[in-house]
Amino acid sequence: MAKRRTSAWSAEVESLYRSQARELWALFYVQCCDRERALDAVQEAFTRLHEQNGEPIRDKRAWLLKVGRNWLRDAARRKKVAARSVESLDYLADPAAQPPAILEQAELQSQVRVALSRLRPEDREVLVLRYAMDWSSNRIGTALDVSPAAVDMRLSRARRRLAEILGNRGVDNE
Amino acid sequence: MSKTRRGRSTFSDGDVDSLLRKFFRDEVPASLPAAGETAAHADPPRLAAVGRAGSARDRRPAGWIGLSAVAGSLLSIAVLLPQPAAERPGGRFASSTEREDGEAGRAAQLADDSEDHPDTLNGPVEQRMRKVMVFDPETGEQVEMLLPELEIEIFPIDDDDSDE
Repeated sequence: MAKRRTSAWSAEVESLYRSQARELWALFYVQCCDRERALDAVQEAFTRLHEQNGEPIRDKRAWLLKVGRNWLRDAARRKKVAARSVESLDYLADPAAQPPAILEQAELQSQVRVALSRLRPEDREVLVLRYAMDWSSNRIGTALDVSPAAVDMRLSRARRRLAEILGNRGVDNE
Repeated sequence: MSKTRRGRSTFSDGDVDSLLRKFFRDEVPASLPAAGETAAHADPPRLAAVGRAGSARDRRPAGWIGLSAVAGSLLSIAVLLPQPAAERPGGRFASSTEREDGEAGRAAQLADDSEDHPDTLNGPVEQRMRKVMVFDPETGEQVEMLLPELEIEIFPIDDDDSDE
């Protein structure tokens, strides 16, 4: 589990959090495909930034990205995922208490999550940047150093592959 | 919308598009700052794809600030160097007071000039600028700069006291 805030961050760290946290979450999500773990990575990175007393950091964004990714790698290595409570399974505690629509939606959410995790990282990356960050093809292209047309092709290919994976898992669209 | 049933996917591209929009609407934690609170990057920093390093562009501002400090220091030194007499308004005798006072004033002005511009009596000091490549430790790159080209003439000192 990542460190949770035990003390107030500095104004600078707070400001950086407001401007960078969402994007960092998206990039961590690409890596782990787990919304809570990605959020933990964001918290961990900013907490370490706040507590950091060494040499001044020139590129804080790159530093945060590196710290978060390293933390995710370590977390995966420790295999703590199995010990985490999986929100998507909570509805199974008492299925009878949940309306069928909610159960169905939760199941679909879980299936999409698994399908995303089965994609190649570069396919997942463009999907996350488009649908989680709502970035345009121009903006994604600038970030990935490719043309907008190439971004559109990658998005189309990633969606097609996602559909194939969902189909293979028996998820159908009605 | 879905049934868990083995078979080929019936999701069209549009269906997947709608599915993903809805998925991430619920997937992105509500505790994160909203998209509108993020810095309005007209030109977002370049990402590496998963596993690549952060953007070098982000380091550039700090590097250029450091380089500017170096350039500023060097330029301030250049300013303090003797200026060619021709650049001064009115040439060597810039002061209107000196012109009014005639020869005495002129001598005084020359004396003043000689203190500030020791080579003035022997002719104008040329100030040439030359391009040099300077290593910027912040960015690790060679940067072209204009620096004054100084020529220092060294004259041997005769310590022979035999004439005394």
